[in-house]
Amino acid sequence: MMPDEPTSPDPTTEELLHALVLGELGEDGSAVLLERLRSDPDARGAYGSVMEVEAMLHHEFPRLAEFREPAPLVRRPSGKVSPVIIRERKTSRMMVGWGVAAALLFSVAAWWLLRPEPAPVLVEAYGEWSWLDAAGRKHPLGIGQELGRNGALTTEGTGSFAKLRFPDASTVVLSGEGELKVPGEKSKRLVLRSGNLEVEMSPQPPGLPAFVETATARVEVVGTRFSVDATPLRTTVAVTSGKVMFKRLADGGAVEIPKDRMATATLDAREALEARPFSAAPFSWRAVPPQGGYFSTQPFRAGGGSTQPVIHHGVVFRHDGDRVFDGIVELRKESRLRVKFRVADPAAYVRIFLSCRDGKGGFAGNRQVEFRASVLPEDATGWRVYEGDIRGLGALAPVGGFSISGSRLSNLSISVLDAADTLQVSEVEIRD
Amino acid sequence: MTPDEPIRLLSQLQPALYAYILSLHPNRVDAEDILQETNVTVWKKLGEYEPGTNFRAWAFKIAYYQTLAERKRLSRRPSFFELDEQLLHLLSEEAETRLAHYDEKANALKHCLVQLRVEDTRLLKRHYADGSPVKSIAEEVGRSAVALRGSLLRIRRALKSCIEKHLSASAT
Repeated sequence: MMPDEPTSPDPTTEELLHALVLGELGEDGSAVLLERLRSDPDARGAYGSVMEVEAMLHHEFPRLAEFREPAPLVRRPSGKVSPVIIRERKTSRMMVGWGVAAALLFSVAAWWLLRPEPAPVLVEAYGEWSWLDAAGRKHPLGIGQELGRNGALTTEGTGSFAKLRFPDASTVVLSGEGELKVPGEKSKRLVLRSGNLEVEMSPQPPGLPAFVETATARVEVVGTRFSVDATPLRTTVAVTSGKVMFKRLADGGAVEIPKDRMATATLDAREALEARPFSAAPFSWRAVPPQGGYFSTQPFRAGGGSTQPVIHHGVVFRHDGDRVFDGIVELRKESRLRVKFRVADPAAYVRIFLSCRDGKGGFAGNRQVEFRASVLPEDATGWRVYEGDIRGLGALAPVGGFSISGSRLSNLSISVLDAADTLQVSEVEIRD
Repeated sequence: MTPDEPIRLLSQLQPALYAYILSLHPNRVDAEDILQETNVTVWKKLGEYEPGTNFRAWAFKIAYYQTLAERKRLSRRPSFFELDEQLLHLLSEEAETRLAHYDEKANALKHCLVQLRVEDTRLLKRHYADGSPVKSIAEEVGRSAVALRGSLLRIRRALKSCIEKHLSASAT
């Protein structure tokens, strides 16, 4: 119960402190708490303790938030067995003379009609990816291996991706903090629990559309190219070619998304469900800390799972808008990167990593450069400047690479390879 | 001490320095601003720091005066909870003592967070990592704000108790 409510006339110090950290402490509560802090050492102890935990949660939790969301409740399409087959099976039982042959014939027919969609194969991957079995255990998944049915493909960390190819030549690329199930059913059905999925779907058999399901939406597709970005609370679909039918699970509302449009569904059915044009991104971008300070090294999770995270130390810039669709800045072939940094040890190796999207949600490759800090001259206060063409940075993935032009920077990290080193960044800029 | 040692020390001190500032000015956004100002001031005054003396205490002192200076600017925003200078001084001394063990407590917190229920972790993520206020989360998840406040209080209690257990287990 909160302190300012009439049912709690004499709130405990803990309740007052709780209201304070939530920013909900009223005038009366403030007066009571201040008086207790002045006169009671125990109250000050409780205050200090609450502030300490609060600071730890503010400071530590965003970097520790690597928990796995539970499986969302996903509506399955009605996997009905054809009543025609059932009826015909009954009929076949009445035909005594042809019984055995007919039963065999219908068994074969039923198997043929209801046989599951063949499993897709992993054809390309980068970073951290694995196969998560039904018990939640991770297994390595090699290129060329078929995806199992009872489990999920996962990708973890910035820039990781895994590409699957189906027997009908449809492909999907899972990236980001992704988890994808491909249950073997008559229709192609993909269950995206989280992450980004870029889909290039070959034309599907008549009457058997493919589906991508998330916690909040269902996408029905006959044959097209689109991408889906999903969290447990939100799904955004962007269509590059063709069209898809996008259904919000919260209320069953649906909208058709044509080429060059996107739509978002959340758990809130009051929000408008509409197809809108793609957003634009600026062509130049600059990050400087306020008041001439600097960004300091912080540990961040660059890959791995919750039990064995891969931790890098550095400064990370991410776009916090509509996730991968917006991007920090749109890149052009002339785009140049400038980073002003300082390290404690000149022998330290510095890594600059960029992960890009294509502006329609699709993965557009990673680029990286590593160098020893001492190769760049330092000024009187130890600052060094890295400057170079982005297209000159080493392309990490995928095979063949992507064009820089039109891609959008979704994540930029500047890190040191040795956790004991200290890195400070005072300026990051991308411009022509 | 090498010329770069203060840079390393200041970087390592960031979480504890933030906790110290938050205890003197319990507003998350303001505390982050004050921390940034403190970093700049520490950097400017590095020439005044005497190697071999307690860097932590020196940086905390700068943070204390920076908080006092910033309070004037921040006081333009109305707030019922205003610590007077005498109380601020008391809280500052107690915070310095308590935060001597901040790193061990933060490490214990990492272990304790793993033990939380998934829905509790999700609530913490929405509130602390995403910065959503309780009312917005309540609307999103279809629960009452009162219930969510209760959940956060319960989680904070559980984490505090877990951290204390963890520290006493490590001490023995």
